[in-house]
Amino acid sequence: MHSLAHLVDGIKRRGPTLNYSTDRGEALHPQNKKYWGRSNRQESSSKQVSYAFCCLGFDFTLILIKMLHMATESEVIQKLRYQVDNYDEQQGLLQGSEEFSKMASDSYQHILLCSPNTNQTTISAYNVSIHREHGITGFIESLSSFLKRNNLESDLHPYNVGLSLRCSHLYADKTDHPLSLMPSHL
Amino acid sequence: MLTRQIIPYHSCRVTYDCQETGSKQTDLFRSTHSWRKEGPRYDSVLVQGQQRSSVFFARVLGLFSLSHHDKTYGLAILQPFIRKHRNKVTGYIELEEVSVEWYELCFIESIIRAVHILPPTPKNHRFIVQDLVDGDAYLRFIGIN
Repeated sequence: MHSLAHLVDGIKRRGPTLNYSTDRGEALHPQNKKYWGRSNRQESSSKQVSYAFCCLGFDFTLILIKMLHMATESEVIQKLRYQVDNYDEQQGLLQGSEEFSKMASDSYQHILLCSPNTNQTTISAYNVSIHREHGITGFIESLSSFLKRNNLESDLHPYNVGLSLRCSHLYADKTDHPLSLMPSHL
Repeated sequence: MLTRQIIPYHSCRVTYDCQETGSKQTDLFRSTHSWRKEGPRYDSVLVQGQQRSSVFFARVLGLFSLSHHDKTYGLAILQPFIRKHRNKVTGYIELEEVSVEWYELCFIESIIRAVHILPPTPKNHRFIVQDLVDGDAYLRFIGIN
């Protein structure tokens, strides 16, 4: 299949295909032999492979996904290797450019909210809208306990019932849950 | 409390240090009930856990900002995923959805980057993390097994 990719180049270089043989040269046979040695020496068909895997208790589509995963992984690794190999060159190029000076200055904002709603809304109105969208309940209570935990509370309200880590039972380690305290180190 | 003013947002731009090249990369993720008038779109993100080495996958259900003493804080409503082991056959990280009532609130600063997560299929009921979309994702998730 791959040889087809070189077909156009070959014709451009050597002229019409009538004048020479389009067979693969004998120099390429060892490579093919190596692949053949690794195969099961049967005429290959995807049905056979599929049957073999089914006998072993695997789902054929999963095997395909795995092959895809491995292929993509090797591609990513190749890209990484290229990055590492050409690191010095790129740094040299970068240092001259404006982008580098922009990068070097540490004044960028890590995260930025975009596309705001055109008008402000109140917490109770927002509560209604997210309940309608996701079926979330108890939003006001959890927001107020969250604000209290982070000392962002400005007024007193009836829901000050101390902090509750809502999802702590989900995580193997009880102390481990998404960072909800002020992330000063980020 | 109930009458406090907030501003809802529908998207968020996050800049992170790419582990592949060391440069800054920018991701844009969205959380909107009507994406180009074609229905809801709630993207997934990688969130910093409380311990330095721990990270979480979560879906962003809502984004909003509120002010306190002249300072504005961005908050996100997250629906965390439970992380399962990598699939032994396919090698992909698998996640399970939890009920929406176990949502979390967090500051948007703890969001590290956007993540591409495939929804479940009729055959496979788990979510799948696409860790090969770029070099940064590959290097970040290589330690997860």
